[in-house]
Amino acid sequence: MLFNSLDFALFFLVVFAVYAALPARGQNRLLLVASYFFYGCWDWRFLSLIALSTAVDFAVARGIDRNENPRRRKGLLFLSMAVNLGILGFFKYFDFFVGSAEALARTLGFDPPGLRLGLVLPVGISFYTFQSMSYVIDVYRRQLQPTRDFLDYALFVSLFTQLVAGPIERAAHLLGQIARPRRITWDGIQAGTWLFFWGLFKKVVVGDNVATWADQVFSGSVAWTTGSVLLGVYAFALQIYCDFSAYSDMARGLGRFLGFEIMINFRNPYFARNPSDFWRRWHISLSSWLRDYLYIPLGGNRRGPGRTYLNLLLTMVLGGLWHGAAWTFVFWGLFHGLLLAVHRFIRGEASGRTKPSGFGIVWRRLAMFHAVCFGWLLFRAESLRDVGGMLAALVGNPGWSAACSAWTFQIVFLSLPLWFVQVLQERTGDSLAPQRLSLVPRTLLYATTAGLLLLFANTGSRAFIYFQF
Amino acid sequence: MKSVPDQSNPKPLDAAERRWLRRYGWLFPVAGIPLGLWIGRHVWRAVLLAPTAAAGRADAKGLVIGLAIAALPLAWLAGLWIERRWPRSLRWPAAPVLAALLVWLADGLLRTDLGQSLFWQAVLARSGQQHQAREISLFRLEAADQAAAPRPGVVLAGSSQLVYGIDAQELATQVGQPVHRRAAAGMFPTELVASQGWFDFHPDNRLVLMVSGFDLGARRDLYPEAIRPLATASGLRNLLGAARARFLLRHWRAWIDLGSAASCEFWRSRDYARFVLEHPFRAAADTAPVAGAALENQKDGYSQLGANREMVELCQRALARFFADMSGCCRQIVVLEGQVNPTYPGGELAALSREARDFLLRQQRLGAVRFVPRETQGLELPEDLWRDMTHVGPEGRRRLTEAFARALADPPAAESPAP
Repeated sequence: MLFNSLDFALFFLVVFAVYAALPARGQNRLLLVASYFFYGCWDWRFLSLIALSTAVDFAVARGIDRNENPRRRKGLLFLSMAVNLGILGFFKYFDFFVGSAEALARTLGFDPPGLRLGLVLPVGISFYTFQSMSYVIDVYRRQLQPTRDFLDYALFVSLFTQLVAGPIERAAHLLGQIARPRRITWDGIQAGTWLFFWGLFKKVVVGDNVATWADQVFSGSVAWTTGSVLLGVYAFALQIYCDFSAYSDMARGLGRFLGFEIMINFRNPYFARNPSDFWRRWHISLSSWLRDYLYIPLGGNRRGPGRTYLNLLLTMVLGGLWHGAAWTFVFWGLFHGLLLAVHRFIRGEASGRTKPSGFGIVWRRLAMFHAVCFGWLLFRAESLRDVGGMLAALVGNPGWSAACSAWTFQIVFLSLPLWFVQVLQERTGDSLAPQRLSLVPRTLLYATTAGLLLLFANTGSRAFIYFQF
Repeated sequence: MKSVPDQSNPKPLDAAERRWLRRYGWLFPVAGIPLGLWIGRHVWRAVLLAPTAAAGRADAKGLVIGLAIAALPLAWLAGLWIERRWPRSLRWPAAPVLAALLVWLADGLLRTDLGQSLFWQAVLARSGQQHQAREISLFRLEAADQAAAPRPGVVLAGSSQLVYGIDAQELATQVGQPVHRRAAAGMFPTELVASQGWFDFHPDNRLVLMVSGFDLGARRDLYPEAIRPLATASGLRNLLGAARARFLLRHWRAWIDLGSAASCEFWRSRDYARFVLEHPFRAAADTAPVAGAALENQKDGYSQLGANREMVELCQRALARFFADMSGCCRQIVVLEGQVNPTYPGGELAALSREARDFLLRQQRLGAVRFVPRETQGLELPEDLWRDMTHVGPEGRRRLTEAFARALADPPAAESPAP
């Protein structure tokens, strides 16, 4: 059940109508049932996984809280990690590692037996396991009191608004909101409506439409030339941002309807001036998760420059692997780790310099955008061989076809409102800034997005990219 | 990697907007009027992808566009002034309501003669080898023309069998009346019925159809993408009325889609708006159809003719409603019994053909249509006159046109065959 489907609209209308009529405790029960129903619509068999993860982490967190013995506390923490990472590792990485081992064995002249299981990846597994794990770790670190209400915790793990593609919420932020009574407010409905429809616009008008060109280029059905590859990478950069941030916007919008404040996951990432800025803006919930639960425990920047660079690389490689079981993701993570490390080195060398001018800012943004685009090439390419082929075409096969012109026009035309809103959000520092515009620009913005939705919404029901992660 | 806090600020941006208008507001008149005039001069060139006689004129429409752009800062300031005097409760709903009104007005503009002409000429100019885009744009351009100045004639409605099988000009000469072509590829009964609103533009029209067992059984399911570009409210009402409750429920998504198409021109034309967007500077080069999914489904339907009894029955009930409605909106409905290549492999075809004939005879007895069975058409279409399984070649086209002309002449005394 995709957010951009009529089925979901019907589902949410029913849930919202009943929700509005129920008292606080009843609202949570309803949301829990609705969330399990929502998840079951993808594949009911995987409900058992989410239930197992929930039950184990709830019990473990309670056990950790009750125990003062450090060894027992640590043991319980490892139990939780083993269950969560075991589920995640088995479903997501088993085939990848076995396949890689088989390939290596074949290279060395062995004939390994085929052990790959062809597993289906449960939707959203990377999101809810990370969310659930963060709760246990926070309790272990005594940063959070565990909840006594199992159903509240189950709702925290499974809340349908952000279950399958994030943001990866923290218990300190969301669990409290679940436990407290919530009110449906007019302000919440206003903000929720804008966020949901803006997300819908990004997904079905921009993301899904430019995806056609990106798919054609990355699948090789369009001849690789400088023009086609460059445009394909730009198209994918736009697609992945519009697709993923759209889901987060819609999740936040739905949350606002229900009285929740879901965290911001994207903050105009293509306006970033450097790698570190980019990761403060892109998939904020994952980057902050990796910082708090991986980078800092590894030592962060407290053990000298060399170890800091290593920690950055390790964190980003694991972040890349989180996205999927493929070498392209590993290299994508490695590339971003290198960017962060190099930036950290340069920042250290140039710490005394003055602030950049307007031109300097534009130049840095453009440079960072293109570095990110190079990362997307690694991320989206179907194999490392394709990466090589596309890079070779980019520098060695100049060409610009009529299709490139047509797609440039299409990409620019469809994304005009996007850039307008992003500039506004960037200048005001407020994701809801379009709502604060005065009557005429707001009317024109709403009318333009509504018109484009009616005319150009891609109704092909293309799933959100991050569902596969 | 520290996260930035949300700097949500509920204050409006009035002061910043005023500052911005003071600094850049002059650009609107300075750039807007030349831009409007430029648009006015080049719009037809962009639509037709070729220079036109109208291209060099800076017409009044361009000036209107330019003045509208120039006046934006004034409207903007007026909006700021009005909003300051409104209570807070009015601030939020005003913009969505006005935006909905703007979209509704734009939808209305697209429905006007000029809007239809600009849009469908743009589709036609870009259609290239894409038959579906060409047929639908010709269909809609002719329909817009008729709506502006309705004149009675023969309305030829049906699928690609008619598009490629009838020479409309020749038929007009033979019957001595204008022929209005309302045919498009894939216009099987469900599509035909849904398009009803395009056929009833003059009470003296004669509506001519060709229906066969093939038409009844070709659709395996309801395909909204095939119906959407021509959906009308009156047609959809008949389609909905003909469907059983279970079918209605099962296809609820399609009904919402088609209901939107029937009531909103933006939604109805969306496949072709995208087509124009995909081909902004030159005609489509390949032969892939616009509604690829629709045509794939169509091919699927050929191989499983009559596989879905529910659809066969829906087609008959919908056609019956269509005939009943249309008989009140035009002078006569003439239905010729259709045929396909004699070598057509479908095993179900014979049974479906019998069923179609029985149905049309019943309709004739009810007085809804005049049915012209194959025996009385005087039409021989042996295998070598067919281009493929369902479309005739040039000689078949000549013969079929003549058969239509004969059928449209005064009917012979006894036309009904034995069932």
